Amino acid sequence: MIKISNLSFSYGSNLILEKISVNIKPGEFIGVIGPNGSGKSTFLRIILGFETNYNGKVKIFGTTPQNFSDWHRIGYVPQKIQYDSLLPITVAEILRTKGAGSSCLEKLGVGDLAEQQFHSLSGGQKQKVLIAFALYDNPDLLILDEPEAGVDSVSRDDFFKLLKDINETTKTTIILCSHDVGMISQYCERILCIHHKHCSGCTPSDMDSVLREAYGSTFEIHGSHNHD
Amino acid sequence: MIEVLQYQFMQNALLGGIMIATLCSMMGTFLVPQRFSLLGDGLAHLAFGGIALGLLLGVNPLITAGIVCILGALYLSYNKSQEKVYGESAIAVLLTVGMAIAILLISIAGGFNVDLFGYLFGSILTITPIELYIVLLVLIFISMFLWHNYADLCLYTFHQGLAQVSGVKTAWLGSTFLVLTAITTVLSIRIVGILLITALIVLPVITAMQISRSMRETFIYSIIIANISVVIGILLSFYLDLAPSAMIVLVLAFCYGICSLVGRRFE
Repeated sequence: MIKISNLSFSYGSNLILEKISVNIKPGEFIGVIGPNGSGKSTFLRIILGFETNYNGKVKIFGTTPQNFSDWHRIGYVPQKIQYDSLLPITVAEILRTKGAGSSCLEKLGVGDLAEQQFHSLSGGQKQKVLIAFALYDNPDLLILDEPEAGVDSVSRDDFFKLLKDINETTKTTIILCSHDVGMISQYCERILCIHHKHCSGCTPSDMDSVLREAYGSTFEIHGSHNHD
Repeated sequence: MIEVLQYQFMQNALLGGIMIATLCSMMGTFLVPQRFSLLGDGLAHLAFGGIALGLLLGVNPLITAGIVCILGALYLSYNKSQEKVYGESAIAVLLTVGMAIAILLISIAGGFNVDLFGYLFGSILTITPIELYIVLLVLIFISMFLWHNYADLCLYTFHQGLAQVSGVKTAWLGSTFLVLTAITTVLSIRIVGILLITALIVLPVITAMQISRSMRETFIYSIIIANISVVIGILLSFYLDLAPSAMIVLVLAFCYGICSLVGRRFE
């Protein structure tokens, strides 16, 4: 589904990612973690075609992100911090931009939010609306960039359960970038840890050594859900 | 009211005002949330440079102003995609360069034998039938563009990345929208002038945002508010013998004040 080989990327003279190679297969639930500024979001931005000045090969559904046009195959949930709190757009208006009706909200249990202004929703409600928006076209790939930021711990747990359920029932491939290492280790089947410009792959069972290398030797996963 | 409509120049002014108010408020509905409130100001000052160039070359100044403004809009679009400098800084570049070119050309020409104040402060009462036809054509074209791209523009305004991943051709949409804004700005110079043009783009929208509960309501209310303000402003200027552009802006500001209070009361 996604093949990345020798991917390097710089912001000006600042090298962010260096010779990263990753293969992502259909149906996987991938967690992307790493310290602040490690390049997690940049990694997703390259896959989505937002960043084009990279070196190496990136193929998504067999084509480069720049030439990709089959956008209904991808659902995207952006970072929370990028929404305008003054924009009076309603949930229904956001859904209508894709031709979706309010019924797609009901699957996620937020059918009553259609006429609410988006900025008036809680963090958890916003994420459910955006997931409903992302899932409307039944995408093969769902990409989420720190979607749980600003969401309380109970809603966060529900949120990860929802993603796991989507992954298992629809076989949608999910790539989730997050700071919540505890949740990632609990729900994702494979983890990509980006640190020091490189990417280390691991599974939840063997992630301890990778995380200590990335976050420091005193790092512990268990007993905490957020190691931001 | 009937007395006012007996004059041809007042009929033209009201017609032109209504059409320009509709254009500016429609574009403003998407410009203001994108933090492009001062775009009209930047483009209008750039247009002043274009007007001076036209006067120096003996060409219709609104044509040169239009060309210069479209180039400025394309520069802004390029800067937005490349993120070379902050958006407001890019607007500041247009604003200052436009004025500098205008001042330079005026000094080279030793002044022009035309009413530059008409461009700076507007001269809606002298709008001609040909100009009305041009504004009408542009209004029809831009209305069709917005009608066809309304959903994409809403999503683009909400979140550009989300729009791109939803298949919206964001580069084309953003550039086209800015070019249409440039054309709207040049046409609006006749109404409120270069120095007050931002008011016609921004004030109806932020006024509508105080009382509306959706993008659709903001879009409709801003058109209504802009039209009412322009008509009242022109009529007041006629009866009080005051500058119409200033009256329009003050009526818009009054509406904004009222709607801010009413909006807060209903929160």
